[in-house]
Amino acid sequence: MNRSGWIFFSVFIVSAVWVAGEAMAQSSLGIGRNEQQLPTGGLFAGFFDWVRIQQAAFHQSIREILLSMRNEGSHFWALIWICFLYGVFHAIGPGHGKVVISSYMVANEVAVRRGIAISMAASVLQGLTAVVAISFFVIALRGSGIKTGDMAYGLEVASYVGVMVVGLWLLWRKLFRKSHSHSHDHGHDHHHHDHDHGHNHHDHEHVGHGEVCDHCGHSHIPEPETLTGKFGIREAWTAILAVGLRPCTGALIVLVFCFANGLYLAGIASTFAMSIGTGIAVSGLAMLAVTAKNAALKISGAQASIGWINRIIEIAAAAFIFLIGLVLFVAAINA
Amino acid sequence: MRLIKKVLLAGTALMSLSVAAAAHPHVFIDANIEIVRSDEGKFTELRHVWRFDELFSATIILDFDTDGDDKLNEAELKVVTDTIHKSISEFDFFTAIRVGGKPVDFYEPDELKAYFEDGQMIMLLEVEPAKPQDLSKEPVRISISDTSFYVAFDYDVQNISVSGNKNGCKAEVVHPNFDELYADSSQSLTEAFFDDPTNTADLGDEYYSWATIDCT
Repeated sequence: MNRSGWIFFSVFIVSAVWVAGEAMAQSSLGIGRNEQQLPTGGLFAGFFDWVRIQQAAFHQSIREILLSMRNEGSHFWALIWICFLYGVFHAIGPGHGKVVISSYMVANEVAVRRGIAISMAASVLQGLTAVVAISFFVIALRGSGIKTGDMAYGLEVASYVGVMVVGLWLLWRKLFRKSHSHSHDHGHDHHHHDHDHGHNHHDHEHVGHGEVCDHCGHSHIPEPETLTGKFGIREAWTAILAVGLRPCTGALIVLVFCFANGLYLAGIASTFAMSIGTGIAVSGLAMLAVTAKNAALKISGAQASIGWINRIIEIAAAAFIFLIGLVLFVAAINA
Repeated sequence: MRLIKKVLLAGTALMSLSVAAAAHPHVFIDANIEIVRSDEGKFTELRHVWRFDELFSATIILDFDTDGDDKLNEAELKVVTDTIHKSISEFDFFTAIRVGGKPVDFYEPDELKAYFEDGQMIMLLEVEPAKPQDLSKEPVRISISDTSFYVAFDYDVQNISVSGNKNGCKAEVVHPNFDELYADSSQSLTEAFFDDPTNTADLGDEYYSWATIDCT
């Protein structure tokens, strides 16, 4: 992200947290933040009831280990291990991270190694957000009347808006892109041109070069960059940021308890253990989604893969990302 | 709004194929409940004692410790209980009472009381049925549950007690059997989410633990 990008980003976060504070984050108990859930449904509803029971069991184990750490000061590695497993498990259960990341990869041609890197980065960033947010809260916000739940809510809303932006942006790019053939020809020059002006998301609104435009017949033409370009990396970072902004409530609660009992290292280490566990699980799920897409393309025939089937899958995935962001955002602000 | 809802529902159907999720608890409360009976055996009051888990109790301290002494004094505790009171009043105080299958109305409880013990918050809540209930003919069924699944209440037979006239009272607690609930739950849950995105929709009795106190 360039400088103006960072400024925009910071202002966005601060205002999201502020709006959230005004809106009064609500959980049933009135304290703390209940994670907004994607609706349960379909074939897997029973499976997710089971996941919920398992997660409650994980919480209990973590609680017991933390209590013995507080009282006896041991069990560090047991905590790390259980938090790692919890992270893996958490990714199988609720959470928008894996859905957004998987869809993002379906919407783009992402190499396996790159996909794993994106999944890990988003998950580790989630852990980092949790650690930074709670540290900041303990240092600067305690006693201010702002609740940890308000802060979590602000980050959550910011994350959902981010997901919507990523979805819309991908959708825009997919809908107005004609084919792959121009992708590599003009991308670079144009990218540098944009960068100099410091634009972030609106780069694509520049009228394209004539030779690209001849095929499109639109005045507003997105630059047909592919993910292999620098632009793609920037875009991937936007997706990572959007997902990574929302810390998991479980991690926040563990961190607060650890910090309150002087278990700083244990709190931070267990949060990242959760993140890494989640990252591994999300990588697996994302790869599964990409494999499924490729299988679908293969079945439909190699010829078709260049054409409309591939495009439809990618457009659907982009729309899906936007929809997830929208559903969660609407649910969050109504809560 | 209708169109939006339709679009959202269509989107959900799509989503359900690749993902589903269920709210899961972040707060764990060990609950004790005491059924108070008058001399004539009428059920006149329900007393809750809720013991919050240590992890969430730490969050409560961090959120409400305005003077920064890592403890909550009376005034700070009052803010906590007022906050909880206000919020759970929208959830019927997590309390459901049935006699003979019919819901029993109860008065809004007075101020809640709370204190800390070994890093755990203990909260007291007293619920008074609008009309004293005759328990001689039919048992009373009580559930303490959060329909949003943010809070998980844990209680079993040993946490149920009867005071006052305890003649012939027997308690039993039945927990939900999720295996049996799996088959037909998916559709209703998805619909429930859009009817009520805050997830406060009641899923049905069978999703919660119920205590039955039989004094007949």
